[in-house]
Amino acid sequence: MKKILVTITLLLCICVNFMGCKKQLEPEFFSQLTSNNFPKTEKDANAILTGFYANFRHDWMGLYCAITRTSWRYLSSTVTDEVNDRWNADGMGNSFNWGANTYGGLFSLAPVVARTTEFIATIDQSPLPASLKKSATAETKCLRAWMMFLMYDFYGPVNVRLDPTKLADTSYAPRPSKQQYMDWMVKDLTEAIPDLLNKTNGTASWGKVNKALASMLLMKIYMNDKQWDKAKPVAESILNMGYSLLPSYKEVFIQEGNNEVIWASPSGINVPSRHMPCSTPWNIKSMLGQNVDQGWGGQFVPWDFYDRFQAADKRLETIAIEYIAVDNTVKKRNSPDWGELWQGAIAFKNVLSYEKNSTGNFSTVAFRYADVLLSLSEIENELNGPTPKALELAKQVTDRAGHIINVPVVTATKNSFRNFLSNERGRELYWEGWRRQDMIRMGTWIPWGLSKGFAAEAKHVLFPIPPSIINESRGIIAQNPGY
Amino acid sequence: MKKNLALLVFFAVTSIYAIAQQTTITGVIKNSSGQPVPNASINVKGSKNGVVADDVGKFSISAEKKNLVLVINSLGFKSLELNVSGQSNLSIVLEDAIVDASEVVVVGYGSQRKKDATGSISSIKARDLNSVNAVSVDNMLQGKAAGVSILQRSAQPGGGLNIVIRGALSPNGSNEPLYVIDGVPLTTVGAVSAGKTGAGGNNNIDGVDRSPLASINPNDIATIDILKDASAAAIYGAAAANGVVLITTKKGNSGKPTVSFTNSYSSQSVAKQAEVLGAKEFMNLSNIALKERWLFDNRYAPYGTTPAPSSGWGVNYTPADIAAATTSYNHNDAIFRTGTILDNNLSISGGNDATKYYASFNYLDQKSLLRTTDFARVSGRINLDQTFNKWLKLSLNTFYSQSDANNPSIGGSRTPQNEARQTQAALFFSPRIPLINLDGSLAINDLPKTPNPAAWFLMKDRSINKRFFISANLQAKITSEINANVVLGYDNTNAGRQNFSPTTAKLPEQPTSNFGGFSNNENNNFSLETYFTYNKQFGIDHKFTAVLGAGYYKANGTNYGMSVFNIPTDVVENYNLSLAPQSDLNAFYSGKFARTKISQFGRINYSYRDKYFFGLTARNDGSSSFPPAKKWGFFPAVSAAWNISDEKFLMGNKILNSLKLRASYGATGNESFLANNIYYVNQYAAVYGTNYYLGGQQNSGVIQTQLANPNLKWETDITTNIGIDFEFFKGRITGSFDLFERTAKDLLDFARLPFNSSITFIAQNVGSTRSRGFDFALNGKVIEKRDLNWTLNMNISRSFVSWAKRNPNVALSPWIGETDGVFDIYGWQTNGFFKSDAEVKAYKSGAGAVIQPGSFAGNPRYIDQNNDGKLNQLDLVKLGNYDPSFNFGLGTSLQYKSFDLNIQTYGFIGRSMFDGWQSFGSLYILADKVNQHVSVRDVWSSVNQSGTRPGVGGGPTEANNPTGITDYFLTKVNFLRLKNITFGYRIPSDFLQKNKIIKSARLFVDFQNLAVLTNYSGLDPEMELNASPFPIPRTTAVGINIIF
Repeated sequence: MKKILVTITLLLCICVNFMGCKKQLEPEFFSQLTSNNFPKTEKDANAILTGFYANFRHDWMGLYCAITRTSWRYLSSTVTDEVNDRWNADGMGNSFNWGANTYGGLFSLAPVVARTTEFIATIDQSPLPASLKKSATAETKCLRAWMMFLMYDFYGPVNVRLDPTKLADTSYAPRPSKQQYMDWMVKDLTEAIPDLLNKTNGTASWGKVNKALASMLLMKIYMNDKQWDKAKPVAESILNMGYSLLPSYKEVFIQEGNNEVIWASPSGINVPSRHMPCSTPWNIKSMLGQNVDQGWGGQFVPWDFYDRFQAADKRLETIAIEYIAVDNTVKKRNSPDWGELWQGAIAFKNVLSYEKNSTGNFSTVAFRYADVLLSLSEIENELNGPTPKALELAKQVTDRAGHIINVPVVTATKNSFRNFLSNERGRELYWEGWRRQDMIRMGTWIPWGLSKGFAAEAKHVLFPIPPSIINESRGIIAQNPGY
Repeated sequence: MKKNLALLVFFAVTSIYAIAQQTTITGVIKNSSGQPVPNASINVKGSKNGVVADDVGKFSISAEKKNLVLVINSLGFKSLELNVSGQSNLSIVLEDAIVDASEVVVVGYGSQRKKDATGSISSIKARDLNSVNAVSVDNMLQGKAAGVSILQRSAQPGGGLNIVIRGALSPNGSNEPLYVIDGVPLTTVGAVSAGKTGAGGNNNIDGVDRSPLASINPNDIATIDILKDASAAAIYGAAAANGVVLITTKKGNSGKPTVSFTNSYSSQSVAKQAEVLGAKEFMNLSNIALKERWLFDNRYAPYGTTPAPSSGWGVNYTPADIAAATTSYNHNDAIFRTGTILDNNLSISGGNDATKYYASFNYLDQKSLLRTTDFARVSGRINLDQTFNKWLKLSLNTFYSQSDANNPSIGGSRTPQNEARQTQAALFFSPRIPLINLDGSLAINDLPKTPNPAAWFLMKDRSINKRFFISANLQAKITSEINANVVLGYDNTNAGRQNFSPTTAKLPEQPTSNFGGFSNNENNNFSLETYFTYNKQFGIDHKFTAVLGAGYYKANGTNYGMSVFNIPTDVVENYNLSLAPQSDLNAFYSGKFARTKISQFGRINYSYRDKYFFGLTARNDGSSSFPPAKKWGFFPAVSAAWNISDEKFLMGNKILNSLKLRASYGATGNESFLANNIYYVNQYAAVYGTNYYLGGQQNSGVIQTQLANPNLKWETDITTNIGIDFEFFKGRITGSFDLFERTAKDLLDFARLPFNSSITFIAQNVGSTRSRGFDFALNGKVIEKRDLNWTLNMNISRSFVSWAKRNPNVALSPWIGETDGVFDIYGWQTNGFFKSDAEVKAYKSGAGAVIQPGSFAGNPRYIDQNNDGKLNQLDLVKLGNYDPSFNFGLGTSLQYKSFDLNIQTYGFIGRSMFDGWQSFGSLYILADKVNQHVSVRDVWSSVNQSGTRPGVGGGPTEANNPTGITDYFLTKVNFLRLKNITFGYRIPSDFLQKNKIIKSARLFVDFQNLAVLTNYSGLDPEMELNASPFPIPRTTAVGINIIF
C-alpha cells in the first residue's frame, strides 16, 4: 500500500515536472529596464535626454575630454599648432602621418544619431505633456545636429539615420552629398532654435543646449562652407541674446557660468575634467602661484605658438613658462634647468579654478561670446574686406587682452586681415577645440604643416573613413579622396 | 498411425538419451548482505545454454554434467564463475562490482559498465588524483584526460582555469563544460566573486580570479567522469554542448568505521621571476632613453637628416645621482614571500546494511606566494545512504564550505605604468629606492605616477565565499524492473567582498584620500528531477535498460554593493560608511536575475549478447532565455558499439584481448552565451559615461544598451564520434582512440549591424563553427609483480576550430577566409627592422615606390605581400592560431614494496603566442623613469646599433594595419610542465600489526611544478596575455595519511 502511495506521489512529481511549463518559462525582469517598462514617464524621457547630453562631457571618452580618441576637442586641438601632445597617435599625430585607422573615433556618434532619431519619434507618439514634447524635441534636434556637425568636420558627409521608419534597415547606401548633409544640419537647427531655452547661465538648466549655442553651430556651418552672407544674420542674432565680454580674460575660465560663456562642458565630482593629469608635468608642485597635482605631462604649448603672443598680452596669465618642482627647484624656459619645459609651455586655462573648487570640479569653456565677435569680424572681412567694422569687432577682443594691433599692416588686404584673425583666434581660443576647423577654413593648416616639414597634403583636411566601415558596406561607402 | 508411433518412439529415445547426459541445477542468487539479486543471467561456460533468474533470484538450469561451470552475471556485481561438481541446489553470493570502480562509468541518471558504454567518456578515479594541498579539483585534472585542455590563468589560491573539452566552438560565449555534482546539474556555477565597487584607483586592486570549484574539498571526490560526445552528454541536452563533468563524492561502506586523516604541509617559492634592470643600469639607460626620445621627437639623426645639436635634451639622473645609487632594490623580493599551505583532512566512513555514511572535515590554510594574498577554507561534508526497506532508499549528499581570502592585485595585459597593479608596480618601481622610507611612509617613485607596490600591504580586499549544497536522491523500487528516483538539488553560493584602502595607501592616480565598501553576490540553483529506470533482460541474449524523466531548474541571484570615499578617518575602515560626506558617495548598485528551465529526457540502451550495443538518448529543454516561440529545443543522439573481440575470429586471441568499436551521432544544446540576460527585448541602462551635470546637479542618464532579437533560438551542437577501446596482453596495455567532429549550428554570438545603427551589435544565431580532432589515451602496465609495479600513461589530443558557415548579413573583412580557424591570427609579416634612414629609403617595391615612407630607423620592416608598394589591409596574412596543435599529458607511477612514486606532466605543442614581455622592454617608457624588463637592453638605438628589438619611435605605417598585429613577437610555443612528482612510503603492515589502532599509514613528499620545458620567452606559457601574472609557484609538500 505504502509502495503504491509513493509511486503515485512520484508520478505526480513527474507530471508537475512535465507540465508546469508554459507560464514557468516566462522571463522575469527584476533590475533591467526593458522596452516593456521603459521609457514611459517624463522622468524616463529626461533620463534618455541626459544620456545624449553625456556625449558632450569632458570626462574620459567624452567629446570634450582633454584626451582620448573619441574627444573631438582633443583631436581638433592636438593636430594643430596650439598643442603638442605626446599620446596623440603615438606621438605622431601632429605630423600629418595618420593612417586609415587613426582618427575613426568619432564614428561612435553615428549610433547616437540613430538613437536621437528614434527618441524624437518616440516622444512624438507618447502621451507626454505638449510642452515637454516641444522642448525635448528641440534639444534632441540641436544635439543631433551638433553631433552631425562634428562628424562632418572630421570626415565630410557620412551616412546617418534620420528617418525613424528605417532604423532597422541593414542595407548600405552611398554617402550623402555635401548639400544634402548641410541641409539636414541646417534644418534641425533652424527647427530647434525657436523652441530652445534662452540664456541658461546661472539657472538650473546651465549645461543644456540653448538658442545661442544652436545659432553658433549654424553660424559655423555656414562659415566653414564660406556662405558668409548666410552666416552674417545668424552671427548678428547672437549679439542680442544677452551675452557680453568679461573684463578679464582669465576670469572667463574661473567664474562658473559667467556672462561671456554660452556653453561649457559641465563638471562635477563624477564627471571631472581631465586636464590636470594630462597637462601637468610629473614633478610639478606649483605654477603661476598656484599649487597643482603632478600629472603625466604629455601636453604642451609649442614655443613657436607661445611666441605669437605679445609680451604684455594678458592671456599669457593662462600659460606657464616656469614652474616650481616638488624639490622646490624652479624650472624655467631658457635657463640651464628647463625641467619638462623643453617640450613647450604649459597650458593652464582649464586648470585655473582648480583651487577654488574641489577635485575636477571646473567646467571646460567651449562656446563663448568672444568667438562670436571674432567670427563676425571674419564674416565682415570676407564680405567687405578689412573694414573699420571688422577691425572694431576684433579690437573688442584684443583690447581686453592688451594685444596691440598693427593696424596698417593688418588691414592692408583682406588676406592680411584673415592671417591676423587666424593667429588671433589661436591666441584667444586655444584649447577650446576650434583650431583645426579655423585653420582649414582660413587656409593656414596645410601651410603650417608644410612649414614644420610634415608631409601635409590637400587630402588631409578630412580624416579617412575607417576601412572597417568601407569593408562592412562591401565598398558602397566610399573613402575620402586621396586616401 | 504408424507414423505417429514412429514419432513417439523417436521422442522417447531422444529424451532418455538426454536424461542420461544432463542434470538440472537450481539455486538462488543473493548479494553480500543476503538480499536476493533478481534477473541475473546464468550461462553454462562454453555453450549457448543460459537462463535468467527470476525476481527473487531463483533459477533453474539443465546442463551437461561433465565439467560444468556456470557463469553468473548481473549489472552492478562482479562476474562469477562457479565450478559445479555434484551440487544441484546452489546458494550463490555475488560481490558488489562497485569494489572495483574502474569497471563502471557514471553517466547521466545512472551508471554503466565501462564495457557496455557506447559513448566517449573519460573516467578518473580518486586514486589517480593528487589531492595533496589542492584547492580546487579542476586544477588536479590537468593532463589527466584526453581531449580536455586545462590551462591555468592565475596561480592565486584556487585560481581560475580555462577548461575546454574538444575545442572552443563559441568565439564569445562560454566554453565551460556543465558540472554535475552528485547528480545535480549546476545551472550557474555559482558566485565566484562579488564585484569590486567604486572608482578612484580602486580598479588597481582587483585581481581576483578564482575557480568556482574552489569551494569543493577535493579529498571528498570519488570519481570524475567526463562525457565528451553527444551520446553520453545528450541526456543533459541543452546544457551539455561543451561536455559534462560528473563529480561523484565518496560514500560509506558497511563495516567498522574507517577513519582517515591526512595532513600535509607545503612550502612555495617563485619558480621564475621577471628580471628587471638594477639601479645603476636603470639610471644610465633611462638617460640614454630620454636623449633618444628627444632625438626622435625633434627628428634629429638618425630619425631625420639634421644632425643633433650638442645640448637641449633632458637628463633624468645626474652623474652624482648615479654614483650615489650604491644599492639596487629588487621589489619582487618585497612583494613575494615563501608561501605555505597547511592542509588537514579528516574523514570517517562506515555503516551497516541499512545505513552507510561518509563524513569529512577539511581545513586548508594557504599563505600564498604574494604577501597580500591568503586563502583559508573550512568545509564539512556528510554523505548518507539509508535503506528504509526492500524498496525504498535515500541517498543524501550535503556539504558546506566557507573560504576567506585576501585577494591579490595582479597585472592585466599591457596595463600602463600609472595604472599598474601590485605585481606590475614591483617591476616598474625605481630600483634605486627602497619601497618604505625611514619614517615608515611609502616611498614616492622617481615617476610619481607609478604606484608603490607596498601600498597594497596596507589595503584590504577580502572575499568571503560560502557554499551550501544538498543533493537528495530518493530511490524506490516499484517492481523488480522499475526504479523511480526523485533528485532534489539545492546549491547556494554567497560571495561577499569587503575592501578598504586607507589614506596611507593612496595611489598616485587616486583622486580620493581613502575608500572602502562592501559587495555581495548570492546565487541559488534549485533543481527537482524525477526519473524512472527500467532494467530487463529477455532471455539470455537481450538486455534492455531505459530511463525516462523530467526536471525543473531554477536559478536566481541577487547582488548589491556600495563604496564611498574620503571617509574622515581610517580607523573605522569600511565598517562605518555613513561617515563619508554624502556628495562623495561613490558607487552603489543592486541587481537580481532569475532563469527557469524545464526538461524531459530519456535514454534506451539495448545490448545483444553483450556484443552489440545500441543507445538512444533524447532531451527536450525549455528555457526562459528564449523568445516565446523559440523556447524549446530537442536534442537527440544515437550510438552503437560492437565488442569485436567477442566475435569468433578474435575470441581467445592471445595478444588482443579486447576490442570495442563505438560510434555516435547526436545533438546537444548551448545557451551559455545568453548567461543571465534576456536578449529578445530592448534594454536600457545607466552605463559608464551617462552622467551629466545640469545647473551643478548630477543627472543620471540612460542609454539603450541592447537591441531586441525576437528570433533568437537554441544553438545546437552536432557531434559525431567514432572510437575504439582496446586491451592487449591481458590488460597490460589498454587505451582508446576517438575521432570527432563537433559542429555548432545556429551559433549564438554577437553580429555586427551597420555602423550607424542605434546599437551596432545584436545577439544572433550567426552561423556555424566546427571542431575536428582526436583523443588518444594509452595506459601500460610495464611491470606487474607482487613487489614491483610500474605503469605508464599518456594522452594526446587535437582539436582545430574553424568556421563552417558565416553570417551572410555581415561582410567579412577581406583578409579573413570563409572557413578560416576561429582563433586564427592575422597581421603583417615583418622582416627585421630598419637601422637607418637610408635603409627606409632603400626599401622599395618592384615598381620603385618607397614602401614605408615616413618610417624611421628602428621601425619594423613589413612585407609588402602584394608588391603594390603600399602597406595596408591587402598585406595582412594569417600568422598563426591561438589554439595549440596538440595537448598532451604524460604520467607514470612506480611501486616497489612499500615505496611508491608518481609523476604527472602536461603541456601543449604549437600554439602561436606573443611574447608577454614585448611591452616591457620599451626604451620609450624607460625614458619616463619606469623600470623595464632586461630585454630593454636589446632595443635598437643610435647608441646601440647592434640592438635586436625595434627602436624608440613609432612609425606612421602601423596606422594602416587594421588588425594592429605583426609577427615580430609571435612565436609557436611548446611546453611541458612537470606538474608533480610524489614519493610515498607505506609503513609496513607487520610493524603496524603490533599497534592495533592504525590500519595503514603512508608518508609522502610531493614536488609540484619542478620544471617547465618551453621555448617561450615570457614568464609562463599558460598565462600569455597577462603581462604580470600571479606566477605558478614551485611547491614542496610533505604529509602523512593514516587510516584507523
